[in-house]
Amino acid sequence: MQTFDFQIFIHSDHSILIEFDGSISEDLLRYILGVAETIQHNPPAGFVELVPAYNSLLIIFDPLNFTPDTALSHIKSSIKKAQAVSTKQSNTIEIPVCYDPRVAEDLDYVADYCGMTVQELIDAHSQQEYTVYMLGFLPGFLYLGDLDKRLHCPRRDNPRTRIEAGSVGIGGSQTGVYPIASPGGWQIIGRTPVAMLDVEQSPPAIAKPLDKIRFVPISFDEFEKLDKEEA
Amino acid sequence: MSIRFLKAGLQTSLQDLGRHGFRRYGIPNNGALDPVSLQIANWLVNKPLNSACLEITQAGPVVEFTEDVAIAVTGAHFELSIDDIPVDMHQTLLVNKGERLTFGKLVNGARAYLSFSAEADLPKIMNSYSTNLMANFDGFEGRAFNNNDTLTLKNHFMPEVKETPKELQLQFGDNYQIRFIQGREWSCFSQDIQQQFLQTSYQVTSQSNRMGMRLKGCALKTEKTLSMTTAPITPGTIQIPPDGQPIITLADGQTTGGYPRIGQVITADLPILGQLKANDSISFQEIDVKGALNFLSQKYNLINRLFNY
Repeated sequence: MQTFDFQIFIHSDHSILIEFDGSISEDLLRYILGVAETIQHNPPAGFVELVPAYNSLLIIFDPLNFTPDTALSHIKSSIKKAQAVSTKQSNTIEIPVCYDPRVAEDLDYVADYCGMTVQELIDAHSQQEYTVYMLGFLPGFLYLGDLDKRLHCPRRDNPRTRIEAGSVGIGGSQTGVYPIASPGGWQIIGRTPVAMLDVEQSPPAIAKPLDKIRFVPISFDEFEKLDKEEA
Repeated sequence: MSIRFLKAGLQTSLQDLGRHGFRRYGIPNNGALDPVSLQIANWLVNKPLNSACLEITQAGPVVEFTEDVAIAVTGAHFELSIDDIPVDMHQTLLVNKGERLTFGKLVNGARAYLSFSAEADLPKIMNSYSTNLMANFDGFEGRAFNNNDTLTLKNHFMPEVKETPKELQLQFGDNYQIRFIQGREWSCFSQDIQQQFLQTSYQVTSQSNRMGMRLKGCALKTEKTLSMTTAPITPGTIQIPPDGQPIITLADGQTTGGYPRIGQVITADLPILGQLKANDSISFQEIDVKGALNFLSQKYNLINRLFNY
């Protein structure tokens, strides 16, 4: 069984931070999620929630019930018992995406920048699977791994003040979907009619770390039809 | 019964003590920026301390109640009047059906809390009534109140009249020393920059909001950009973006960040941040975790004495 070395800190008056050695990978992610699960099954006193990330795990406490040293040794012994989670509970989630300039203002620019036709760009973006590494930034935002190197494209010089919910973008070496309307600097190459966030559901996001995402191209007509059904 | 907003004010929204357990989905806590004042307001009308209040920001509303009701206003000091007759904060106020409560001049602080002797007739989302202004959910239609909105209330009751003890009738200044714990990337900054951070009096800028407080002062420029993997942050995390001007994450702020974390404001001092406005100034004073927890328990000992009256 693979484990990873780590450093652990009393990080504030309400949190303990674990940082794991090793580069970002699915193996590391499986181990971080295993540690998270072990802590959650047998939480230390005052535990409120935890936030797994690429190579770290933040454990958040109620500061009025936080005894740092006790919590620290509790967590250290939890880590000793932790095992990497299996990928058995991982789902593959298909997200329909309309790659059409009418909903994707930067599609032509990005194709140009990458030296591809629009169709080649669509193929390259939609013919691979993306692993969900973590959630953050915006409610329901999925940090995805492994964007095809040919599609790397810098952010816009002038961020937009409003990007519509469902917009699919590329920002540097990352790709992702804006779950809610927000300002943003990513290049927009598509839009999904599917809601990425449903606050009435538990969990509220459509995917969890280790799930796989596939973008499935749809036409503008299909987009409009599905968009109406969602609304 | 209901509350009618004749004027909504600059940013009036429903907030309680926030939602917990959803940061791993990117969902922040939300909730009152000054949770101490919110709890005192609820105590004054004899409600559970976590009840939803109106959080009122800098320019207050004019509201009318459609039934007799008891209310209390705490937090930022506003000149208040009921049908043009001045009334005091920090006590239970009885408002008759049809009377108007007007928030006048802001004397000090930035955010007041209005509690009322009824419950908002709204569903909880993720165990909270707090408005998420960014993703537009919960509270009143997921947004701040507008002129002419009506908030419907239920389970109306009439409590006994109380007054906040003098030592908890908080007044706010415009210049604070905020205590912080060294952040994970503290040691990535040179000693010179650490000293600059400790010696600068920072100004709160008008770009500050419920997501974050943006400061202006001595820019903490590093020779080369510190490259960081995106990592979790919490309310109170002080990050240094490339322009060198600190940003403090607040209750509506992002759950993860990519800038170096120079420090973490102690929990005991977070409510003060909610009472600062543009052009107020703060400086930072370092303490350790043990000291931070001591200050917090002192603060809550005082409040708990009140709540156990």
